[in-house]
Amino acid sequence: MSNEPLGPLAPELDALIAKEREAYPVDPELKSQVFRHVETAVTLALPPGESAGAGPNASGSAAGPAAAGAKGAAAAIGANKIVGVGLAALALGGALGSGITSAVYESKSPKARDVAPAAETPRPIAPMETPARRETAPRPEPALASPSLSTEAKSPTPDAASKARASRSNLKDEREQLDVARAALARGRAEDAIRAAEAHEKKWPRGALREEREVALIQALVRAGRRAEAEQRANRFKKSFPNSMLRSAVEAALDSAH
Amino acid sequence: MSTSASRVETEIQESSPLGPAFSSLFEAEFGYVCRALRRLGVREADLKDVAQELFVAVHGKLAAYDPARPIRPWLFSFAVRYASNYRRLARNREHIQGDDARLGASAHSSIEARDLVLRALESLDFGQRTAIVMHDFEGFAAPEIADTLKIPVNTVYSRIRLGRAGFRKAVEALQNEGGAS
Repeated sequence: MSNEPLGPLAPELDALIAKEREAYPVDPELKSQVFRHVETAVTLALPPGESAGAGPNASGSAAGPAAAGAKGAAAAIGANKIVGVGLAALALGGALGSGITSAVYESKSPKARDVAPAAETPRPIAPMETPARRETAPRPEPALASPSLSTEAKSPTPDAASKARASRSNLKDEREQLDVARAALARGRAEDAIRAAEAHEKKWPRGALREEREVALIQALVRAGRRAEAEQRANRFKKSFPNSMLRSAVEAALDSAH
Repeated sequence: MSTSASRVETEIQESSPLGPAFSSLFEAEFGYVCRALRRLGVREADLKDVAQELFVAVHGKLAAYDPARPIRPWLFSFAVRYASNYRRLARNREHIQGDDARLGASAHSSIEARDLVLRALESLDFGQRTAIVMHDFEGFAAPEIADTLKIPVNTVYSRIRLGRAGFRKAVEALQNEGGAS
């Protein structure tokens, strides 16, 4: 292998990459779905598929992703870990908000300190833990697709704005009620979680977060030893939401009882 | 998604039990992570699955992140790991091949350029692909790549060299193929 440093990328390839860079628009629906999934997986201590996540850490870095498999994520449930972030969280948020991180990073020249390469030494590939294949069809997002919100976006009349505020308020209330169930679940108080989830169901039978509620309820029923009810709910869930990305969480909940 | 719907989502994320640090990171870097995953070979249809696995792991490791260091190399290392795992599945490799078959070889628009680039990248082994994506697409310096991937810096140079040669060859072949058809 040559000892000469790396040269710049050929201009035509550079131009191609510059054009390619523009073709990755962020899909807000996808973003929303991923965020909700992460929230559910972390809060319910149900990593997205026991087989998912990173394999053994080839890097050996404590902060690296290889140690950040699903089990690590599960162990980092909610508030405890976030509290642990402490000041680092603030610093991180600030850096992200200001874009300083990106600016600092992107200011580095790709060609900096290019020196002679050595022979290729392929990195040993760690055994894979299979990422769980999930339903890829978008799950229903009733609150986000509600006519009132769409109307408000197109013509921000006072009435539409009022409806939008009401929808946001509803979502917030739903979220808070569901958080009661999740918190109880995280503390191992299954019966309390069931009561909270059922209260959610009573108040918002077809609420925006009903999928998440059903998952929490099924999980709580399993933990409370009420397997028959859990299975009944699970079957209903699968019929109602055949393409739900939370389906694997339901199956994992039932599997955990075996 | 409408503007108001986006606001609703923002509100949800702000009140999320995942915490403000993760929410901020997710808000700012979701697009970056998705782009990294696509360039590392994750099909669009599988992006959601892989991204959510990845962000669960990111959440789990956030306390270990050193905010004095740039966030993107740290996130990219997750993308490498999860894309690598994804690609080791035979069924995903088959799907990737299937994707290739329908891609065009011209690059008149950014979408065409992306398809051409992704298809050309597909001809590289994963190590070389990762190296040139990090170096030539994302602008990482070679020592930074070495640090992120925990491999010798000379290996990084070697992979970039080989990856560039392979990438150029693949792009030319695809362009010729497109011109001939």
